[in-house]
Amino acid sequence: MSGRAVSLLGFAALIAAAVALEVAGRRRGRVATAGHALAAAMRTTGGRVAVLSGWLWVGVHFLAR
Amino acid sequence: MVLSQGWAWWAALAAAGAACTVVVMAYGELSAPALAAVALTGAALAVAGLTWRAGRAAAPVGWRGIPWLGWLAAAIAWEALTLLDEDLWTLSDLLDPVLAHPAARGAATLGWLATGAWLVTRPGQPDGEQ
Repeated sequence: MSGRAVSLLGFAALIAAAVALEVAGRRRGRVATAGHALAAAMRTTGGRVAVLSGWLWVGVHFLAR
Repeated sequence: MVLSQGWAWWAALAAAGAACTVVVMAYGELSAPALAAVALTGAALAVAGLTWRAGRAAAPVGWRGIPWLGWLAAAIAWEALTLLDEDLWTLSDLLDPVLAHPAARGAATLGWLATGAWLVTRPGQPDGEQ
């Protein structure tokens, strides 16, 4: 199996895990949804800075760098 | 400033977002105009979110957020592994060919801006209120 295929499998597994967590959060409520977890992470100044910095880095890295 | 009443803010955001998207689509990756457009628009949104204390009044999730921390750790670990192993492709390696197309780049830019707008409109408190 090529390195590209292995990488794709790894990232696909991460996406599948995120979808599973989101579904679990919406159906049973035992897990927070991604939106609720992200918003909760922004309750503190440090968390707000981390989340917004991460979002800004994603844009610069993937769209412009 | 109350975000729900800030129609002017939304109009300015839409205009800035449209301009940013057009520049990113037209100039592409590794270009100074695209870097300036993304960095300036992103910085403006981030500063707005910090000024408005976005998320300060969001509901706590407690232990229900732990699985997402685990997911984030796994994602960082996998990306780090792909960076260290020369045979594996990083997320950037996989996405760069896709983002080479202007339409895909434009769609990704709009999605990124929409995510930023969502983040800065999480429940917060204006300056001066406790």
